Amino acid sequence: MNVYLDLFLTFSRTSLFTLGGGLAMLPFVEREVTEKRQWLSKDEFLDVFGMSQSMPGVMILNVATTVGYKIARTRGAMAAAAGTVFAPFISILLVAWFFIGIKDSPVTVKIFSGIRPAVMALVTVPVITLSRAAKIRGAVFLVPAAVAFIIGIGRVHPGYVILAGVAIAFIRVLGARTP
Amino acid sequence: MMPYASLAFSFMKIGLLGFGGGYAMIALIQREVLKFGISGLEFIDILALSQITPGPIGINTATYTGYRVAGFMGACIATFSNVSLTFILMVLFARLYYSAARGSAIETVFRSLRPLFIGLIAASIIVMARDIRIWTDHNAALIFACAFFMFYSFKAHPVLVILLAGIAGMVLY
Repeated sequence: MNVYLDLFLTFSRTSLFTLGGGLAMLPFVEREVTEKRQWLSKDEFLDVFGMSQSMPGVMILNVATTVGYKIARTRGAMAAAAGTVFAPFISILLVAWFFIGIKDSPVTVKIFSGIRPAVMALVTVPVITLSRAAKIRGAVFLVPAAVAFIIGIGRVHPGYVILAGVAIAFIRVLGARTP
Repeated sequence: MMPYASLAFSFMKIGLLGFGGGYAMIALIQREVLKFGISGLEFIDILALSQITPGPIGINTATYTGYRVAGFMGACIATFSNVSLTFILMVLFARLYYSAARGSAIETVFRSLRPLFIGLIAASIIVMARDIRIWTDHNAALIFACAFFMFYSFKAHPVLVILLAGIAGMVLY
């Protein structure tokens, strides 16, 4: 099979058959890329995952882009990225088209009044699990608390806070390297 | 013409500043889509829909918002803007990785940013709590507590919990 088509189809399959966002897709992508296709070794995949998390944007799309680049350079990266976007694009488009038609009906309003607190709970869980994983305690706790306060209560645009945080982290890390 | 240009600008911004994964990006998207007349509550609905359809939150929210604001063309523009700049960055980065230099410095920088990402997620929860009025709406508080328990203690699948919460909404509201 044509290598571009192969990349496109592989990544559209992994994003079509997984519900629940990028991290849920990761194991499927890993199996496809390291076992079935053997495009990357397991170690290489871990590296790629690490740097995809460090880059902005959609994590799983960054993984696909890097894998595609390795297999067939820039055009391979395009095929893999297009494959990743294609299935979610079509499916959410159909959902949007349907939902916008019914979103103000009384039944939909009731159903979504119930769903909203559940979505909030879904987003609350990673705050706790990530805090544990990152061993946030003591004075470090002030950072997330301040960020949450500035954006959540102070209504500062998150973009400014992100830019400031990235700048500070760069200065600190680079400063620590060059004495 | 205007909605296309502002959709493109907003979603490029989200793509470039969206560090830290889908959950950390929520605060940024939540803020940006306000400009297009999408309320905090509708945004939570979009998050729910993106959880029960395939694909990453970042792509789903871009496509939905684009469609809602300016139809099919809007969906294409928002999705493309969201991914294109990051795509270029990532290709440059992959080129670096598959030559000699490794991205370890950048990884160190972003590992040190984890407290910031956690703060961003927490910020989006504060905004949601206010929009839902969780302090005064006892039904919402009850559903939140049950859903949290299912996610945290039983690692329940989002699709299942969203389905049950929808049924609870029909009964309670």
